[in-house]
Amino acid sequence: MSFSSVKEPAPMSLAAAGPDALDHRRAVRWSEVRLIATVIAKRLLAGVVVLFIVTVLIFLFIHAAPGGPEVAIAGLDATPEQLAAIRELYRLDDPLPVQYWTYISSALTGDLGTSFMLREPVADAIGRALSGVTIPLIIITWTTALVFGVSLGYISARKRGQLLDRTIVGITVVGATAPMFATGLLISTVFGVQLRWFPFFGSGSGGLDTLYHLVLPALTMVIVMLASTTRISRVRFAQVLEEDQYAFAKARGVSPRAIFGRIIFRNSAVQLITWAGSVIVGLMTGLIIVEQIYSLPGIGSLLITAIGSRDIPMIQGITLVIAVAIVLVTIIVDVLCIIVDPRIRRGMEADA
Amino acid sequence: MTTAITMTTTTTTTIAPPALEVRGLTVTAQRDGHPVPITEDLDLTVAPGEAVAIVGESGSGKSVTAKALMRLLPMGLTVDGAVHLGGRDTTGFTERRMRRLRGTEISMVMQDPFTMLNPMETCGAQLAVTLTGPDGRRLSGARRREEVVRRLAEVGITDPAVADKYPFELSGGMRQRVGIAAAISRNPRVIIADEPTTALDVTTQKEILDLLNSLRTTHRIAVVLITHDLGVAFSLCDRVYVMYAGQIVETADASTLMDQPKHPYTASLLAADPPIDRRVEKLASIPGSVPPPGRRPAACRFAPRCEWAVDACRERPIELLQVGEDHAARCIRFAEIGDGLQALAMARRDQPHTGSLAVPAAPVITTRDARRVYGEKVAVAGATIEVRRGESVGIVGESGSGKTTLARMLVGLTLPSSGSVQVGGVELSSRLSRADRDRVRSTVQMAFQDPSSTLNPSRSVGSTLREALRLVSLEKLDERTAELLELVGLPPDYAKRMPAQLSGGERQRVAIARGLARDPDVLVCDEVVSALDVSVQAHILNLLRDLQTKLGIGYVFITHDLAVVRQITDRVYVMRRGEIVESGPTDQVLDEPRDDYTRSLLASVPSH
Amino acid sequence: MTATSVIPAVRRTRWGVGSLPPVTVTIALVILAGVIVMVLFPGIAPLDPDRIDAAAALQGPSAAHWLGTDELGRDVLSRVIAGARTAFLAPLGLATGIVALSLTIGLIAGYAGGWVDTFIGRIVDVLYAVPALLVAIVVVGVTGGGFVMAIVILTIFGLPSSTRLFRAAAMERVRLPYIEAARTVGTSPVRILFTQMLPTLRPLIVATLFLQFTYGLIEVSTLSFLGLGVPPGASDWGRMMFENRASISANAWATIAPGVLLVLLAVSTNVVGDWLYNRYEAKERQR
Repeated sequence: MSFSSVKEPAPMSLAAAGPDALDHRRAVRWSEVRLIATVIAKRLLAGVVVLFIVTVLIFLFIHAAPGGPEVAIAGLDATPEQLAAIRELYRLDDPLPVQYWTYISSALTGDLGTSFMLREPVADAIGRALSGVTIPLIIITWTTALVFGVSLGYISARKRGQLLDRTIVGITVVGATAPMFATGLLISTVFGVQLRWFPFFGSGSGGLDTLYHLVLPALTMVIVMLASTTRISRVRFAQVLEEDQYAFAKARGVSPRAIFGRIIFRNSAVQLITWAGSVIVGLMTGLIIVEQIYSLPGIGSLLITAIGSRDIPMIQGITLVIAVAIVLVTIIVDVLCIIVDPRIRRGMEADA
Repeated sequence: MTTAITMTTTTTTTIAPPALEVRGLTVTAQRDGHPVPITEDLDLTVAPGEAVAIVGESGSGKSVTAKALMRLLPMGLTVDGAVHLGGRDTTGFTERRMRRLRGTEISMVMQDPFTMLNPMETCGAQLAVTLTGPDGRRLSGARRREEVVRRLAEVGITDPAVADKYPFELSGGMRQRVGIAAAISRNPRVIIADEPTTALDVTTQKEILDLLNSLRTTHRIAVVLITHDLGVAFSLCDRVYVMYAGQIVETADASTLMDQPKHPYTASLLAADPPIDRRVEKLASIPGSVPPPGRRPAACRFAPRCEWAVDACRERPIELLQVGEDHAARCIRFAEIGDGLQALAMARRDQPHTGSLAVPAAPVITTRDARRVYGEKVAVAGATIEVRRGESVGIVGESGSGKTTLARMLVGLTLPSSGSVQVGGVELSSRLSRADRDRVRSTVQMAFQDPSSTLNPSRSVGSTLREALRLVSLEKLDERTAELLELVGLPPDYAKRMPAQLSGGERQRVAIARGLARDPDVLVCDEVVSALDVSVQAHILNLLRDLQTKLGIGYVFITHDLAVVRQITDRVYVMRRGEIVESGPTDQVLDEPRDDYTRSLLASVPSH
Repeated sequence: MTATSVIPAVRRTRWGVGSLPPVTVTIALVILAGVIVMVLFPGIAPLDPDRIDAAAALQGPSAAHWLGTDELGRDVLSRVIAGARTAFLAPLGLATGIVALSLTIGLIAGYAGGWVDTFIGRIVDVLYAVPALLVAIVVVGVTGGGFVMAIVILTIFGLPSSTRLFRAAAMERVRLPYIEAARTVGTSPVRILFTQMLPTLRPLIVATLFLQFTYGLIEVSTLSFLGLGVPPGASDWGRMMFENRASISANAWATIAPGVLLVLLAVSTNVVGDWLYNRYEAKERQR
């Protein structure tokens, strides 16, 4: 394209900013919105397929357990009549696909069956465990780990190579690796049993007391998550700080705040969002350990006891909930990344 | 009663202070505890609106200088010396004060327009971030938009939609313009352009250089152009500073430097630049290589490579001496050798034109309508070319011309989507017999562009060569390796070295040796000299010419540089957007181009 | 022709790359060596780790039992030393298996490209989101499966992250001139993978081995801690913590000693793996 002389400022600047250009921009934005909506729809569909596969697998797998579910329920020394009665009760003689269908259709209405060991609807037990303990714990841990981890990572990256950075890296190496059950035991023993600063057993009596009881468990999980978040953020921030775009922004006098928000943060957003998703998934595994150590009646303990008692509906219900959560998290992370990074967006538009 | 007293004041005409003045700029790095100077004692003066070039090859320290001027050095480097902006001394300024100066007094444009811009923001948003209204606050939406469009127009972008595009949606030239617009958005006095056109095509390069030139008048911006390309320097700048191994070795205005260089390095640099208007018998090159920081000689830095060096040159550090009006050089022998230097510089202009070396023979490679598409994109649109034994054929074009894709098709790395490629009588396809494939491999081989990745870094030079040699025969591998190395001018003990221990030029030689291992009839050279310094480039081109005579080998030479084409090819194909737009004997195409595109290519080359 | 050869890389401090001082790495290596000694020479244990002595149950540290005894009267110190075996060998086997498989799959996917790559990529992407340990807990718990089943599950679900790593490394290298040159010269693809690509990946492979060892250790010991995988009574560090937790007030050492060693081993291998990975990365960036 030829270079036009610039003796006078282009007189068409006002006209160029006029209605035509505006419409064009509106059209671009609208097509982007449509794209994102399509992507969400596609991902949800894929998620459903994955969930289908997962539930089938779980279903088959449980029914393939030695002795069949009826032995699990009644115990190994049940009489044949008792076994037959159980089979009758739970309709275990129906062909598998029918059993599966019954399960799924009731699951969609919120009925996940009845727990063998607790004798109450699975959905209720899960709901209680989640709202009472698990979800508050996840929220506290996730927020703390991310906020402090990203901040520490940024500080570390800014001062990379210097003493502060090396100290942080040194500490986070230990923190990120120490197995949660080891740190959990250590913390509950030291801060709970010995120093008696915080309770280390059970979830208290609701409200503030529960939060008080969640401090040590949250701390246990935060240590690992914060350390690894710091490391991941530091690596990414340091990368961006070495890039030309950072030097160029500084060279032309962009304010430090704008540099942080637009260059450093935006260029790390995709990695951070993806990582935040991994943290949630990692917390699900961590929950199991932590709830065991601190005897919290959350979904992790529920799962362990269900496994121990061969409580099939409960196991199915909890794994279903976990699978749904993982699928949702993956979809949200994907969609957010698309929204944040224009390259992914425009790349998809080109393919579309 | 008051009497009005009129005072007559004699106004002395004051000369405006220089836009940029640098005294004694020294950048030091810390290596293993002791300080290592990267650049030493640089003095620079740039008047308002003037354009000044800092020319140097790799290892000269020119890029470090650019960052040092803005106080944007990476950690681990310290800077000493005074930098005056518009008469104000900035030494001892805190980072806070410097920040206020950046963008408003001094600004910078970098080499790679892609990495310079934020991929996450639209061009308009990036431009607008430094725009403020008269009250110093950020502008409102509509006003901001107006300003952005106006700034884009200032750099020649008349389509306002560009403001809503992301950098990755624009071409290299457009991105560089956006970068320049962003850099000058607050009307700095000085803009430092660090190799701004190195990553661009030659036609785009011209546009950007013209743009920078015009900004001198419209915005009264002084330009400090950092480059390794003398042609670029001379086409834009009034004065030139030549740097070598961390020091300024000569400075003068452009025409004086061109005609009367007073430092051997400058003269050699001028002589080594391949001329575009004629083919010379042998390209002047500079023996040896640039000493890295920490291993520079204490006395004259250039002495080890200088043909005029005497004992006095190696005794004491050499000062920058005044050799003429506004002309300084760091050479104590400038008076005696002045004529010799001038002769060297002129030589490339006076050397007679030599004819091509080719003797017409049977074709080794032929393509007929070879076409390569990637989905919707057409990389090569039906190319029909011929390469004969013993001749050197050039394929010249800019980025996106398809020349690299065509080269890959000739070697079999990429198969044509349609059309045919025949090598040594064998038609290339995905289902070739072992014997056919072998025949192809022994007929044509390839050498690649990037010296830093053309050799496997974890294998020694010898093992890389043996890997190729063993496919011919398993006997006497060590002997044949030594022979190959000798052929490309390297000592046989290089076989034990790792690529990291070799310089860029040496690595390219090894790459060429590898290409010759199977004794091919044709060697395809894909931009093999483009990433090398000018003096090293001359070595390699001479070597290739020698090999052509000695081995009777033919070349397919892919390049964007027309001067190189003139020196090393007998025939040339010009490509544009996947099509061959012109072809013929090199001299004919370059002297009397028939196609408009060829003409514009020739016109865009900055010459001297 | 940038000046990067002139400007020393920011992170190249006197201590090599990354920000880990050599002290940390040395300590890590020492700890690692200590564990390996325990693995190779279980005979240094003073007493038989499985010898039950009900009379001496739950005693604190004494001359006869440096770390006291557990609830069955077994010597804690000897059990800890014996436990080094599973603590070291299980994750080692796991890591070796994962690295070997993911390297093969990743290289093939990265080098071959095309539909092979897409196919493998899709599977990897789906498996990637699933937490290996969670699946292991559920499956092993429900089926009552043993150690082998746990390892199999952990291997399968531990493959995706390394596969991605090696695939990315292979894809980067495929386009490099020296690989293309090898193809042009006529070297066979298999030979290219082995003699051209693999040597450049050696540091990455070693670093990944260490890091996978770390994850494996954490996973296996967590399973043991929950009572899964390892048979009861085995002198496995995680299992010891599981069994002795109830009696922690009587002899805390029975729980703490294995815990401390677990943490030390995990951190050490992570430190070494990190250090190696940083060195690999820095070399890559210098190209």
